[in-house]
Amino acid sequence: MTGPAFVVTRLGWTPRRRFAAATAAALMWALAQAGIDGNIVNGAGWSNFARFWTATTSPELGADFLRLTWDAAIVTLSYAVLGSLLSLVVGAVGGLALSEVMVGRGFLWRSTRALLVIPRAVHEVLWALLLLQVFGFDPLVAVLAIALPYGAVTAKVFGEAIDDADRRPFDLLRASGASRPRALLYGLMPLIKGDLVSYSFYRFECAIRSAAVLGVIGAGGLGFQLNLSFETLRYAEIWTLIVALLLLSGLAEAWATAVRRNRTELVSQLTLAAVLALVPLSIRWSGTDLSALWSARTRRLAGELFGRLFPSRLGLGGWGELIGASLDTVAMSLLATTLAATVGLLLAAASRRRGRLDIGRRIVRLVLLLSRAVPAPIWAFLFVLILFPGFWPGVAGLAVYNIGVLGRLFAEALEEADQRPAEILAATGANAPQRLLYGLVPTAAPRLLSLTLYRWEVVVRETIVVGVVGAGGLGQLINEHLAARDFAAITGAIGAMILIAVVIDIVSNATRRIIR
Amino acid sequence: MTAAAVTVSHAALRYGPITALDQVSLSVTEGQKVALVGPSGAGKSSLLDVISRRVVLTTGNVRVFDQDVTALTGRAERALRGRVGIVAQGLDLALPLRVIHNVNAGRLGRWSTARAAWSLVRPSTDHAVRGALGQVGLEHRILARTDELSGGERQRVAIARVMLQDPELVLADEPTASVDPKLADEMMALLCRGGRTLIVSAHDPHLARRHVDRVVGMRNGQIVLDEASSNVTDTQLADFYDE
Repeated sequence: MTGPAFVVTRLGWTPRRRFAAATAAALMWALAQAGIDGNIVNGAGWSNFARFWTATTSPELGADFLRLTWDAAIVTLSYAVLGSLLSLVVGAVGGLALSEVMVGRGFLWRSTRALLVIPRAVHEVLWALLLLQVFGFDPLVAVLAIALPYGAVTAKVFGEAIDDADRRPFDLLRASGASRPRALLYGLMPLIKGDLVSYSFYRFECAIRSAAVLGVIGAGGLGFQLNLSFETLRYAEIWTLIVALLLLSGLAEAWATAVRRNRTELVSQLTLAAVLALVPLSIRWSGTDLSALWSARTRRLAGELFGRLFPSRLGLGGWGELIGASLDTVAMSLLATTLAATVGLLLAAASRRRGRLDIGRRIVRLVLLLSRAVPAPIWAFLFVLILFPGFWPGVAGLAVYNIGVLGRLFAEALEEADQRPAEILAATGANAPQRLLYGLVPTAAPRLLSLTLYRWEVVVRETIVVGVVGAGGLGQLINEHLAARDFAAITGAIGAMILIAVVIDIVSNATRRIIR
Repeated sequence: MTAAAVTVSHAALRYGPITALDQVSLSVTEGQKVALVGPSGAGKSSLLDVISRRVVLTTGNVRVFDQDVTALTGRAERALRGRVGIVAQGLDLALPLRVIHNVNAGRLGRWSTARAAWSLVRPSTDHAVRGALGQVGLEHRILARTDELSGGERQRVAIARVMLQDPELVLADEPTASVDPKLADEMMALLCRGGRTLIVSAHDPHLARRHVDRVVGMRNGQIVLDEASSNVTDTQLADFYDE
């Protein structure tokens, strides 16, 4: 058994190495953009920060406040239910139109891709603020503000899931004469159905958090109450509300996990029944009136808003302000995402360990749940206490929140990856970190990277929300324009966000192709 | 008397209504080369799985080098496991990694975590690794990505990994299934070389018989044949696969 005499011994600049170098360079630029000077930590804020954490042990438990919390919770739940159901419809249709497998790379694919970047780039809060101009203080605002961007993201994920799946059963069915929809239904859907159901429930959990954040700008629910309690520094009340949010998120997540693990008929039917029951309940609890969607008044106000938004105009600060804010946004998102992915992966791996130290695993899971139950702007507000207002509380808030999100997504990806390589390594003497490095992480790597890239896009949108605590970037700029009712300038800033989203989309697709 | 490398006592493995192993007892002395033969579903893979402890027995007992691996933890467990090498059906390599990393994985039992991590960044293409790959004829593919290799080539990489690990006991589950006959013969010879103990599940019983000392035949989760390979006739083997 001999091979050719010439053996390659040096790797050189492989695509993966180039990617790693590019990422390192980007991070260094981001740090430079953020500016690391002496003035980051604010010593005077530690006492308030500490008070926030000591209040954990004594949340507000008076009957009146608990009743208030309950009412707020069901309103938040209603927004999430209606918003995510609507987004599923949009996502399913959009996903089919976005998958290369279904529609090829022709005009439909290109135009859908271009079109769907727009709602994806605009955060729920911004949608809500714009929709407020059309519907007024109507629960429909919260529902649509969730449904539109979520539908766009879901469409992208569905489309990519269809394209990433093992193509062979689909190709075989096509080769034997089946039409594309048939081949999709019988050849592809069984492979990705689990992933899609899992993702839909994950989106529902996200919807709960978004509904909470929307509360901050007045939509009602837990977010609204959290904002009130924060403004008056009532830490005990804050913790009661956070626990309520945690319970709501936790329940949604537990339901999602049960559906994912237990794909029996009974569970599917119960889930369907629960969903069907929740829809009318949610409509009642939130007081949503869907007919407002097509009323004459809506059409008129929408038209007026459109007129005020366009043509767009530069704000008072001109190009310099816009470009500076854009670069800050990108830098913030890069740092927050990288931090979240790194720590998230470590925690995801830690949350997996089987056998001994089960308590450790449960604690890690709880930490991850807490991280993502509290919306990013609340974390950012907290970090403003100890870091001076500006760039770093925004990064910290976004990072902590996304550690929880990515930690959970990574844990699922690790669980669903092929376990055999790691099992064999375990059986021949490798320890846990080695099994991860040589078995589990490489096998799951394409999915982990995909999730990180997708999350980066979302973080860019989320910078607008942390802008409320003066974190800088386009978020703060848009807030300033809103305060001045300068709608035309807002459109310009939104345009910049869309442009960033498009660029990130391109980078993301190119990266996925390189790493594959 | 030579020590027993592997002792299986009354092993039973059940998955709900399915019985994969039914009261199997087997003793393999150090240095012996044993081939497991039998039709699909006979229990060959299951037996290898319980010996390697990839799978937990329902009842019964397995001792490897006179130790029960489930009673061990920490360094002692790793030390014992490091003495056992496994070649599964080539589906156990991390495909996105390069061949060199998958081969180096054979040394993880001896490496610290830090060393293992560093090797991913700067893989050491040292003499031992190249030797192991050379033995299976894949030295020229040392830096290729594993997912670029064919099924047969991946199986050879799995064998190279075990060669590098150089364990005292090798458990091989159909290691030559996707490889052409001439190459399969060479690889079987490679696995049977030296003083290590070998238990190999054979997809081609005639090939196995040429290289091993002892043939163990299984059917329906039980051992029904256990002879020195020189005593096993062609008709006996043929009967086996005719249900």
